[in-house]
Amino acid sequence: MWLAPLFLLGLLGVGLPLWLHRFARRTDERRPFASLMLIEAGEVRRSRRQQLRYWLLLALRLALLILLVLALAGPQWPRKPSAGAQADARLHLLVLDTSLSMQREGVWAKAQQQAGVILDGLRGGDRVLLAAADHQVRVLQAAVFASDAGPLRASLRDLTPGQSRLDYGNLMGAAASLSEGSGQPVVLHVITDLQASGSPLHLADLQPPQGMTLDLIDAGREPAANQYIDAVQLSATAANTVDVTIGGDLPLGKPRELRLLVDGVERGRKLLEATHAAPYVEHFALGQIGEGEHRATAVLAGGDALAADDAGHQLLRRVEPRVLVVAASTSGDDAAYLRAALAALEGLRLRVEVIDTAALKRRALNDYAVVAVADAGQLDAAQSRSLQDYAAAGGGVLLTLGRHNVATVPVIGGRAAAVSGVTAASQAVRIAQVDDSHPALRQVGDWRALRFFRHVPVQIAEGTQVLLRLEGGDPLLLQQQPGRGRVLLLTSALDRDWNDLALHPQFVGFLAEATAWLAGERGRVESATVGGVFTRPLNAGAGVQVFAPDGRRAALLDSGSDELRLAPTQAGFYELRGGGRSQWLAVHIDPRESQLQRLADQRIDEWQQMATPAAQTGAVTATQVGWMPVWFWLLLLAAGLAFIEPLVANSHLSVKREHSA
Amino acid sequence: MSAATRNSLLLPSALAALGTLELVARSAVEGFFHGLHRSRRFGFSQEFAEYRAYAEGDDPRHVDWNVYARTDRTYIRRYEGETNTRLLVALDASASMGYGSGPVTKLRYAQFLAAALGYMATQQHDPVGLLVFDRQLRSWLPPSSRAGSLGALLHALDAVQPGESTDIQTALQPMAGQQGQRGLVALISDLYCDAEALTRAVRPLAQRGHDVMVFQVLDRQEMSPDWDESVMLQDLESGEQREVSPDYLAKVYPARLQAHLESLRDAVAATGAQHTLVVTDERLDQALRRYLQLRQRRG
Repeated sequence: MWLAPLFLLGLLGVGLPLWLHRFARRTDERRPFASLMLIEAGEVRRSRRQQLRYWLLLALRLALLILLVLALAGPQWPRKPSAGAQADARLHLLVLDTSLSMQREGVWAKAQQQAGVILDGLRGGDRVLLAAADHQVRVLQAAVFASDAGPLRASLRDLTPGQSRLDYGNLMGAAASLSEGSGQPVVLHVITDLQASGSPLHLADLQPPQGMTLDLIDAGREPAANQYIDAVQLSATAANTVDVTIGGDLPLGKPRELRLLVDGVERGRKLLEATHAAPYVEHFALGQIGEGEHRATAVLAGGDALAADDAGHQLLRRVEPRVLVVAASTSGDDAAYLRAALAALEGLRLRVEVIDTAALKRRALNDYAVVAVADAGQLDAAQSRSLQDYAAAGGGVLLTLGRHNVATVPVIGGRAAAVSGVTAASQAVRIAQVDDSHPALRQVGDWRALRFFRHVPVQIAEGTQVLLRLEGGDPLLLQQQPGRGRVLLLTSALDRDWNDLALHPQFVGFLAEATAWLAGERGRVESATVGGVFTRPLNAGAGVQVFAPDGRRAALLDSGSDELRLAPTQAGFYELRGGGRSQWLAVHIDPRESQLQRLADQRIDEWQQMATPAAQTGAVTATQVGWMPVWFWLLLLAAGLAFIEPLVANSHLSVKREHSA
Repeated sequence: MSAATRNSLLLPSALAALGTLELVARSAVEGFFHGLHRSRRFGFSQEFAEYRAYAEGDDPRHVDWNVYARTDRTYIRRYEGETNTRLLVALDASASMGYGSGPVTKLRYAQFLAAALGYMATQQHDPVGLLVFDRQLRSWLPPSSRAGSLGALLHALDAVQPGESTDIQTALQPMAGQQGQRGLVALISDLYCDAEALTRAVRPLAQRGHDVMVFQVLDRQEMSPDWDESVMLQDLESGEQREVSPDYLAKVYPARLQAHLESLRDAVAATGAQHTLVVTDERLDQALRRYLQLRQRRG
């Protein structure tokens, strides 16, 4: 077995000494001589001795070169276990639960002590592998013989539990890969607190790999009451109020104090009564909360069984979405209707800005949550592309069609026909089909009461969905979700000559729901769980650095990356720096780890009975043999040959030198 | 021809550049004599000394036809300074003689030497013969002082190519058994044989009254090998291969070669013969001087 087999190509270099010695060059060269009468037969032997020295020198040089090449290639020699221990040798997979619950006082020390006991009990031929299991299974030390377990014990001493969650089903799935190719009986030792919440939904997921003996070692303690911060969030019912949800049971006779910190400053403190039943929500009225993001941390003071889950984190986002209304004239009907309706939406606290079409080029669209364009036919190609990019990056766009005829619908594509209209009010067209499952239409009243005198028939483009359809089948309201953004298109204008939409109460309700839906992506607060995977698209060319709560850099993505994938390992606030600004990500602990109930004994028995250990063969297979690196000895031998080679070379060449002299 | 030019012609590399063995022989001998300053001691005399009965192989030009007319017997005239010493060149043409690290192999050098000796002998009207061998007798040219004998000798020498392994004793045995006139025997070989075998080959010749000169020809690379690295050597005669280290070639081989040479010198001396070591990158002077010394002693 070789560590770097490509170095073996260096063996081609043996041609060099062969060439230097001009292999067997004299064997073909015969010189006539008058008589060999004076050449005694013994000379043949002397000549052979000389020749032997010649071959010895060549062999030395070849061996020196070969040894150097072999040493560089990193050969490993099979090393068999001691003879007495071979018959029943096994591979022991020593897996320690490093989930959050193992931080409970006394549990981890007990687990390490039990692991030491297992290591002490191994026999000489046994091999052992050390792995840690939480949200992932990590091999800390590859399989070594029990006699070589020194580094493994050191790894065990340095190992500490983390903050993520262990799922026993995932562990059983990963265990098969730990023992792949071992070819000998495998014993899986799982040292864990046997937490009930670690059990998968289905018992079948606990099935150990085929041929593996399961050894569950209970390192846990008796069940104990534990409280934890389950959630921290802005109140949905009260303004400027933060709700902190507390899970678990309050320890008897131990009232606890709950503190709320916002941006590192304590903003409230409350004492929890022992009578409260979980889950319990505590409200903190903060007064005015400034616009923007705020880091809120709720901390339970006073210890319980598990202190690591006594803090919860969340970002509080108070935003006033900005809406840009674009119209041919800022004093037109459509602009007036839109501004009035949007300003009336108190619940959304929108900031509305009305501009004419020409001013659109000077606006940074990314500063707005929604852009509403009245009579979108007035947009030129560059403005249409700009809105497409804005929508693809997560923006919301509301479009209406009007007097400006276009062949292609701006932003969303699709063909537009000439305006279809009627002259008499009695001939007005009504809405025939409503997709009321859509959020923008869900709360609106009777759409069929509306009358439409004019509209622009549109042939919908690919990826476009019709939400409202007029009698006759023409689409009235369409939606499209390009990239991360959202687009709504109304094929009629906000004008009394076109319809009576603005005169009906549905108009404001529709506009409120539509704006909320269009701005939804930008108003969402993101958070992550320890051990989970957090993803976020990245703007091209920006790059990002991620710093963990302890200040260490957790990830670095260059400008070529288009997505951030992060698996947080700590609870708290991760900082995402990139594109010239800094953002926060709240990471909280998986509340299932805070539930310290132990698996039922029956479930443990069932689990262990699912194991199907392989029959003991008693024979040592090739794969049981360990590998010992031998490059050092080869290098030592090469050094010895390098010392001898000049001596032999001098001896060989001395005759020539004397003769030449 | 300047003195420097004549001296340079004695170098094997210079001789190798000459076209024919005859030219090689004449150049080498003339260059050699030029270095001797033409001492009278080594000169030739044409003053009449005596008559001698004609024997087969004698040059008919030396027959005194006047005496024949008077006595009806054939006599040949002998002159002062002429000893009628027969020279027999025994040339080792085994495969090992084909070795050479420079421009001249041992066999080629030996050919030069044999040609020069033959040329000198011919100048003194001495009969010259040639025996070429490796593990056995390959060619035989009886000593003769007839006109054209030198050309025949040189032609025969030129045709010699490296052969098989060496067996001096077996190759020279027929010559040792022949009943003939005593003379000089120049054995030219790299002597890759043990001392006893050399003794057994030379002693019969010496016992029959021949003055034997042993010229041992070696290459410079055999004398002092120069290889920086271990080499696989292959024996030219047996094909056997052995890997040799520089250490051995630098330390052990020279000692073993020296011991081998000493044993050969001792063996040759024990038979009353003369041993001369010549290296293929050296001039022919030493070998020719050795020949003249012996020739004068007999003469």
